[in-house]
Amino acid sequence: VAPTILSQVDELMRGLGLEPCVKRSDFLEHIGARIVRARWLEARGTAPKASTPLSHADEGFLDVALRDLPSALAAANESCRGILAALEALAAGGATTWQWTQASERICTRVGALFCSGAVVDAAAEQALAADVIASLPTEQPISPDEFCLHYREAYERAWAAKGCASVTGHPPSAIALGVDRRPHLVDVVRVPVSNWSLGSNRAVYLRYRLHFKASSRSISSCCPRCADRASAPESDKALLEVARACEPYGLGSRTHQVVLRSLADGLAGQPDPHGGWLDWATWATPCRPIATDRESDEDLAEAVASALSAWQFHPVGAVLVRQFGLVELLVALRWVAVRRTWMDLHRHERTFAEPLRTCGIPLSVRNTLFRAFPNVYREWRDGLIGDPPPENLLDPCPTSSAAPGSAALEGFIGRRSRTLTKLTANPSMVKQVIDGSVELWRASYAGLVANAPDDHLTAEEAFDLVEALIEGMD
Amino acid sequence: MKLNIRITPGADGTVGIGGPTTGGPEAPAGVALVGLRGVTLMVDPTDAKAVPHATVFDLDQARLSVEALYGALACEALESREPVDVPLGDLPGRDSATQLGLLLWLAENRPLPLDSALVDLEAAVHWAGLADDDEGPLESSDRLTTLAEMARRLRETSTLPLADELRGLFARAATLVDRGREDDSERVAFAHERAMLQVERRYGASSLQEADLTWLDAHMRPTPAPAMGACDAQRRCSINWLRVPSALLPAGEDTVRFEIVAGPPPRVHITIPAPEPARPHPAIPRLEQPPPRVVASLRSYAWPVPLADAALSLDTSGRVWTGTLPLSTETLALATGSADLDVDVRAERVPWTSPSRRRVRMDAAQRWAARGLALSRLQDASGATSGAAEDAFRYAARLWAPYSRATAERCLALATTRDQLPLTLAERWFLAANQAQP
Repeated sequence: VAPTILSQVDELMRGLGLEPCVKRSDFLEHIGARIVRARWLEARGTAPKASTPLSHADEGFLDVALRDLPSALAAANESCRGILAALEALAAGGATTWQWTQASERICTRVGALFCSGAVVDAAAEQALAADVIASLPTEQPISPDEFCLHYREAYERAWAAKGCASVTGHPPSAIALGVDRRPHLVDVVRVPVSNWSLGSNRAVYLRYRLHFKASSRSISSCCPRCADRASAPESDKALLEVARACEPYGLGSRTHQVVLRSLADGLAGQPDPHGGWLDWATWATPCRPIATDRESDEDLAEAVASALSAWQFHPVGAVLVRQFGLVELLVALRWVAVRRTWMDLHRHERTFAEPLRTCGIPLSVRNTLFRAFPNVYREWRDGLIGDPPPENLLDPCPTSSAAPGSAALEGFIGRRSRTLTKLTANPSMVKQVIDGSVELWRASYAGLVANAPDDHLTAEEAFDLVEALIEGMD
Repeated sequence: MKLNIRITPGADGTVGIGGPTTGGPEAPAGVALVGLRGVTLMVDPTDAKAVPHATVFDLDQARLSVEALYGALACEALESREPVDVPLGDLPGRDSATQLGLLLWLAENRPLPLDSALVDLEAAVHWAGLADDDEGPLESSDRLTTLAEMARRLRETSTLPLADELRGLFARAATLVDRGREDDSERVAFAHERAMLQVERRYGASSLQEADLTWLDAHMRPTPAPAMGACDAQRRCSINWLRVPSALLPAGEDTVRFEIVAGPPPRVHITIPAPEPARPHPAIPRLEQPPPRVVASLRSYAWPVPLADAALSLDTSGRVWTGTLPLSTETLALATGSADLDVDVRAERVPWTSPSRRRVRMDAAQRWAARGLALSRLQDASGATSGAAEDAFRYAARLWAPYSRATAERCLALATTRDQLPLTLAERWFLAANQAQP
């Protein structure tokens, strides 16, 4: 294994017998490696990442970067010790309670920054840093699933009866590929294959609550970066908040966010323009403005997303995937991934900010899906490693519900396309009508073919175009 | 010699780094996409020395990665409104990204029966070292559990193959996983193994006896390399690797057998041998996967829609996928009247697309180049001289020739001269397992 800055500092510390008073890995990364990288940057203008294997050329510079490091590390360790003592004193005085595991990384990041800036860390600085660490500690720890069940089951039952049933029937998650049209569990009683963003609206309420405590959810620099008003979401009982939010349409509390999700799904529901699209997100998002909420779907946003998709198919990243898998093959998965990834972004936004997302927060989410998230997960999606749980594992959304739950996988245009193809496979004479250009005959016979469920199939024109497109693609 | 690289702003706000590429046939065995923060790289696994093309889709987020992969000057040029050429930094991060591309390509294409769990873990650790954010693959609790269990087995059994390399892999993962969340239940085992690693570094490793290895059962025997394929019979066709669930791979050529039965009732019988399982590395636990869902359609290249569809199922022996596709009188007439028939096997979630002989032939060309690459990597590393890799590249050249002369020439060149990226751990395990038990 090639050496890295981290491994070299680790080796040096072991050689010195230096045992940090904080967690060793925190000390290594946030103090040792950080000092080395700072020296590198100063000397060369650029520095390898702490965990990146070093080239032979870099290894030559390593000796210079590690020079005098033992004394710096020892001094940093003493500073950490001083801060820990100050923290203990604060705790003993009843000012706060803290856990060693929580404080370690926070101490190291602060000490590392000070040592890199060359500042003197004296007793006064240690006191100030201790106070700063205390202020940064989370004030609340998540409760266990059992406690959550015990304290919030009744509230969830009441809230769902008041609103949840209407939300699922009025805004079925399956229609936008967000999940199955069922009621989410309060806690996850069934082990799901993958517990991540792909759960969508099937995510148990407790898992939504746990998102408040995820380390990654505490930094949101990527969301709505240029919004002027970034007032924080008001502090409240996080568990109750998630119970209430789970009963809202699509499991989002903000009407704006519901519209954003629906618009995104609408924008990705149709066939991309075969001639391409053009969208300059910077122009579209400027000025940063609120999303219109007078309709269920914002046409402007849906068109922007559709245009981005049309452009993507000719972009190097999109073109590779289209060449390998075919555009039509990708559309269901793309919409599925986009809606669920964006749900995570919107939920995170609601947890963090008082104001809903505005237009300038949209491009990053959409681009991240098209250029990164989707290429990364398509194979898992195709292999069935991510997907919806069986509907029978979830609860009926309404007390008197008798309808079969909708499935997210094959909804929208692609689902209608698939069902139409099945009909045409069994009726080759109708395909012949398209080949012969018998449009009138086609219209009449197609109406009869789908008479039982016309809404579940393509329209006569769409189906005619589909067969023509398939013929065009033959060679 | 210092190389320059072109930075090209796109009309849509994205920025391209490196030469123009469409992912077309210039990469004979296909490419891998590597998604990082704000930037996606495109890696050609046949070209170890090539600089990956990159698409920057978020300038703010991509800066760190671009600087680490292409240098500070490339990073500065991202704001340029015109295409510019800037000197390319000689940076090791790029080698790591290229190696990650190779791992992802192996995971996707599966030209050999490599241990897919090992490919996945090594890719995840490489990826986490480059991704630098909360979307890293080491965020997956399943992977953390697997890594922790691997570390435990390595700790308790010092004689496991590739033990040092796998310990190195875990040690690298241990520096990359967020340390602020060790109280999460899913991370407890990982945190424990990380702590054990630190203890071992200080006080030395423990070891168990040979008798503890009895759990290495008969399933862990080596498997032969996949059939190179031979088109010698009617009613045979090949699996498109990129359309089927990974569980059907690796697959040789012409492994799909189908027979049209006039009836009554008219129907199509399909059989596909299940792939030989890869020899699993004993340090890595296996996670239960959902059973793959596979469908097949009878395809005529003179007809735009399927002639028949049905799901395939694994027979009770677990060795053969089978299915029976019903035909109507009309579709039977179409099938028997068509000179050019085959079967489109695909994952249930992958939809039907236009029958295209051209595309099917190009896909076959890509598969042969992939076999050439996969075999040549093992051949070059082990010093074997079977010539199978060279034959595969030469055959790929013939298949590519009608569609891309440049790609065909590249395949011919690869048959004789190649620079290889370092072997992955899964490839090393494959070699070791096969050499140990021929």
